[in-house]
Amino acid sequence: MISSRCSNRGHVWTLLLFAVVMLLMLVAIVFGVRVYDMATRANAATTQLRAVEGYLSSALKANDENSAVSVVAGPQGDVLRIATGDGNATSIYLSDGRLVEEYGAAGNALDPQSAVPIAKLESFSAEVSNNRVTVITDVGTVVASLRSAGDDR
Amino acid sequence: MRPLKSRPHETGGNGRSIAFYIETVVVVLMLFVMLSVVVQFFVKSYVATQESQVRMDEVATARQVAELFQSSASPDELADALQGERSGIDKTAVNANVEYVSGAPMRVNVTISSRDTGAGTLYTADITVSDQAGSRPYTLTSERYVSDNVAKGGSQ
Repeated sequence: MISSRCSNRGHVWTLLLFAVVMLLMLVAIVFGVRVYDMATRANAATTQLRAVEGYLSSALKANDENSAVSVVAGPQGDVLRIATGDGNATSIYLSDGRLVEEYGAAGNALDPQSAVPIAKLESFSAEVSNNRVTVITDVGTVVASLRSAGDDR
Repeated sequence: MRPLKSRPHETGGNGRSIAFYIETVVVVLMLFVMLSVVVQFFVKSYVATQESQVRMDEVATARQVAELFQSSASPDELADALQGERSGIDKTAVNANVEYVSGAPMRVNVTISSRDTGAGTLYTADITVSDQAGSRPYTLTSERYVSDNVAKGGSQ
């Protein structure tokens, strides 16, 4: 009788030890997963920002010609239009939660089906002053100075 | 040969030796030590992620401020664009709080100096961006050349 009680106490002790070990390991794993999740989210946000910022800066700088950049109203907000000088233009606008690029004749209507997706975005608006383009998105603001503005002077 | 008997003081009185309990305590202590090392790695990883995120936001913000400096005709215009304050006696400085990266408000300090190059003026801006805590600021230098012809109304 006494031997059986002592044996049960020993089993409880072993079980308790096992439970403590498992609990601590679980806590460590959950903590590690949360840290990894946080790192991945931060990396994704940074990548998206760099993708949008890099693309817009490159597109604007590559076609920095006199009066080449303009903003027109589109079906889903502003359309940033960059004329390429040969009667065509690159239109950058928001379509179904994505920033897209469409290249075509400057006067043609927009066709999102044929546009190339650039990045996922929720909002996009642009403003052109005499020597500066400011694009405001949900991930951040992109500013590009236009050197061609001096050509007006 | 007589069989060996365990001595009475080595048993816990419940059929298990005291050594067993000491061993389990040592195992638990070892586990705590190992877990603390693992958690330290995780914490370091977390801190590195946070610092990396802040640095990326600082770099992105500094780039936008540099573009603003490039497109501003004067420090006053830059201060207006940044919605900040102009200060400084020897060198013009512009201080502002901006949020060019969503969710990352930054403190910006732009110190502008100029140097006459003969045919024009070279403006140099030292752009310092830091988070609200002011830890680990990032500095970017941007230069803008303005020809004397521009000042007189010619092209840049």
